[in-house]
Amino acid sequence: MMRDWNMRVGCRSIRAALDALAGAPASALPAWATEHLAHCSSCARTVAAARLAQGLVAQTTGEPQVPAGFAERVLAATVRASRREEGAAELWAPARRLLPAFAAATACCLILLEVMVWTGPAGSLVDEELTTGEQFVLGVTPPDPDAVLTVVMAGDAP
Amino acid sequence: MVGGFLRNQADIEDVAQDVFMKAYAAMPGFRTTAPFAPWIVQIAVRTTYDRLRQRGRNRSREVGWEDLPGTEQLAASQLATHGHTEEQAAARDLADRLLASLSPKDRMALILADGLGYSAAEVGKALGVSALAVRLRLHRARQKARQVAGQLVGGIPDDA
Repeated sequence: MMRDWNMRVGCRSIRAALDALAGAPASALPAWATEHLAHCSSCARTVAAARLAQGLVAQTTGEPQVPAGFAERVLAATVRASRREEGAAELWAPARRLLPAFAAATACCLILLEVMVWTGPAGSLVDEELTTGEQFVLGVTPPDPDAVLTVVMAGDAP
Repeated sequence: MVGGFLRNQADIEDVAQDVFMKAYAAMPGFRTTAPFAPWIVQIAVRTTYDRLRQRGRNRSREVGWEDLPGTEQLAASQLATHGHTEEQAAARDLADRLLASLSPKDRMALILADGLGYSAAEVGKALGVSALAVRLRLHRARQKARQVAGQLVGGIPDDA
């Protein structure tokens, strides 16, 4: 009865310390663990499995061996990639150079349009709508002395 | 590092080249005041993860003791007993079999933490998850790895 209880306590202790026990070789285990593992095949298997798993994970992190010519291949690939990017950029370069001219032309068009909108109503006046005095001032009809006198006498001068 | 996650030499070279090219392309966005190592590790981990995920469908099945070549059996029994082995290449193959039973993220978390000694926070940063999620993932990954290793240990003869 007492022996079973001791075994159960030992099994629990082994499980609790599994990470630390797995990291140590069998010869470096503490005495209590060695004693328990000698009598408990289940715990012995658990510790061995944990040690194997840990050892295998450690195998994945060895010193890397860089294959011959690797650096040159990476460099060449990087140069190729940056040339591709430059090529794509050059495709748009003429358009980019014309951009200021295009902007200036657009601005001129806008200004002209604006001017036309402002001068539109004045330009649309027809000569017939002007009074005789306005036609003289604006030079629509050549000044005739008799007509000028008539206009002045009529009080129609602007 | 990439060599730790992948076994096939062509895959390793491919991914390593991708990592360098991605790092070169991302260099303008790198803050010079920030440490370089975590930045490049993050690129390496994410590039490798993409490759592992692509290969995920072809995950190899778990193997029993009888399926292992003699050198891998020897490496397994030496590692289980002494914690080290002279059969490095066989042990590396065996490690690949063991890790193939894990999901890509579990596998990467296990290698970064238990293989390379990164903290949970560092692993989390590299994988893009929280430190707590890494601890949970590590617990699950260790259990699974021990379970697979336990199947192998069951086959080790007593006199090994």
